[in-house]
Amino acid sequence: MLDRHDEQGHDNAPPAISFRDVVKIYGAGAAAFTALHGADLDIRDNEFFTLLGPSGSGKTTLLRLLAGFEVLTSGTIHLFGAEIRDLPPERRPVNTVFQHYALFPHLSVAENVAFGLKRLRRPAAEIRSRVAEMLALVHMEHLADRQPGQLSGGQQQRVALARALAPEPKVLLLDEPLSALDLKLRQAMREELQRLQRETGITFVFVTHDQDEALSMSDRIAVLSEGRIQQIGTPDDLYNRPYNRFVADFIGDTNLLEARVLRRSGDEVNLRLSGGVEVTAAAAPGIGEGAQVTVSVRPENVVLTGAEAGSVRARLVGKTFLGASSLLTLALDDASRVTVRRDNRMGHPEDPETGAEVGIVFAPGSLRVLLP
Amino acid sequence: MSAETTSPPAPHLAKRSARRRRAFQLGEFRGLTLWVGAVLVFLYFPICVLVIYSFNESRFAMNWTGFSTDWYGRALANRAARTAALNSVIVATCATAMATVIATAAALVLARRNQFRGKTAAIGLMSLPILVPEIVTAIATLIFFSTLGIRLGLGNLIIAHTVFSIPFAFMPIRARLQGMDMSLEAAARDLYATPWQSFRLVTLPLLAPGIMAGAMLAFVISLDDFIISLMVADAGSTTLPVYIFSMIRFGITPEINAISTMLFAASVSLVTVYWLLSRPRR
Ligand SMILES: Nc1ncnc2c1ncn2[C@@H]1O[C@H](COP(=O)(O)OP(=O)(O)OP(=O)(O)O)[C@@H](O)[C@H]1O
Ligand SMILES: [Mg+2]
Repeated sequence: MLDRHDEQGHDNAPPAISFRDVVKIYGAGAAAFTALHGADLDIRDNEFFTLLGPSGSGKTTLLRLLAGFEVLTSGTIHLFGAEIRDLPPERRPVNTVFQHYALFPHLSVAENVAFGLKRLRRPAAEIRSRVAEMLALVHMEHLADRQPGQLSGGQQQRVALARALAPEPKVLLLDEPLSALDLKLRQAMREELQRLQRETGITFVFVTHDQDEALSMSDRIAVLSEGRIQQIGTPDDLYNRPYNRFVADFIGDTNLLEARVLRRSGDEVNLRLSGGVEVTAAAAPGIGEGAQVTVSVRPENVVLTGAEAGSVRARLVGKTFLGASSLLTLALDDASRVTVRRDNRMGHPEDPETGAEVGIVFAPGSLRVLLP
Repeated sequence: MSAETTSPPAPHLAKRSARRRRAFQLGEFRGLTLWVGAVLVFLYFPICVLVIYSFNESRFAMNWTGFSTDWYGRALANRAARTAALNSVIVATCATAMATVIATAAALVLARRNQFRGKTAAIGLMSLPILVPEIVTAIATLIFFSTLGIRLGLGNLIIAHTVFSIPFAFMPIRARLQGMDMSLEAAARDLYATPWQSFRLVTLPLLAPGIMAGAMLAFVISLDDFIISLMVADAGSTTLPVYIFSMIRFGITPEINAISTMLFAASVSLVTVYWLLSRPRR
């Protein structure tokens, strides 16, 4: 990959976790499969960091390398400045909330939460108070004596969180912890997790393939695809300044338009869209004059106007009513399609009829040139 | 497992669905019940006769003259029978202990490694001895011992019994392990348990019912074994089934019936315990 950009400030505190050129190959010989192709990643202390990507993109692999369940093929991982390659899982100050919770079925809720503390040989009195404190933190104190088999999915989830937080790890790893819960509970748990992260001050590394989850909870997100990190940034960066085609397409809805670069001036480029219209867009590194590029623009940044000068001519070919907003599908002169999102605020002008000739303009700064 | 939450259907619906179900259920055919009854009689009648006649007063086994427990007293007082019984218990205990440890280790290796060359073959080979005719195993074992000149008395029997009970111990352990979530061990390691602690505190307690069941099965198989013991045992290390066989040559007496009944009772109680342990929990 080219330089990965991380558009947030670069403070000087050492990162909590840093991956350098991490390669993971499963199997050997003909069956070898490269799950990570040289990942570089810095996660700051006290951050709610999310690994987002489709199934099979290498998210779990990254977590398992961090927890010590898999061995690096090459590269380095540092935890608070210390190389951890040779530390077995039990010597890493990292705890995991497993996807299916992995609660010990033969131990009670309280014994599950106490498990890590006992292995660390904390005094009995301390263990007792810490377990009570953790169960209170996740609102499970009344079920301390139950067996995990007697708990609902959401309750098991809370116990798994309490168990992983009890030994006060420096980093908490969460592998799709919400995926087994129903929608209502999932949304409640999002806030709960954010609250826990703030209250404990522990660095959270959260894995999900759900972009809404990632955007709503995270301080920063790394987007993965096919074992490569595509972009690292805040939710705002990823949504409004996607770096390449994968990120623009994976996060939110977008329109992808083909264009040719006419001129480049600093951070901006002048483009001619395939329909012949000239527009200005934010540049991407390494894009020069004459290049054939893809441009992304979000549906809410496309504004419907009359068929007046300065706008792109289009014809309305479809409408989808979504309640708060509507999605209008437009066909441009060269037959490419553009989707427009319109608010359904009261008093808003009516949508034009299907088949009507309209014009569109792009909100200033909303066009982004993407890397392939 | 999960509780029925649906309310009972209205009476007329219930009746109709019951009738329809009857039409489809083979198990409700009269003839089948009779058939099953016949099979059970066929299976258990000889054993019942044996048990009943063990309480016969007469010294001629098939001639009922009155109830008596004398033959049990005789059997218990029979020195040779007691030695043979003790041999059986020693052999079964040692063989069970070794077979269970080996089977547990094998099952763990097969469960841990997700894939290695020949894994399927290894699992198949673990269970294959169950299908090999016992006489073949017996002769092979005999040749093995005599070729190598191994003459350890009871030791030979213990080695032979260990080998053929491994597959029986292996099956319930593997079944239990397959139903176990392997991320539990990862969770234990994650929570600062060393590999040994994670085995002792998580894997072993969860595997225990399977191990117990496997041990029980191995014990019964060893206790009941005849052909291999007959071939391998030398004069001083006769086991109970072999001893019973040697007695039969002098005619069937109620004493044999009494000894056989006690052996049968021991096996049945062990199998019952095995069955209780291997039932799915909850
Ligand atoms: N033990 C393994 N042996 C071989 N290949 C593996 C192994 N574990 C994972 N892989 C492969 O590595 C790739 C990445 O897997 P990983 O579990 O990291 O994906 P993921 O992003 O967590 O996906 P999901 O969202 O489905 O959990 C996948 O293609 C997977 O098939
Ligand atoms: Mg995964």
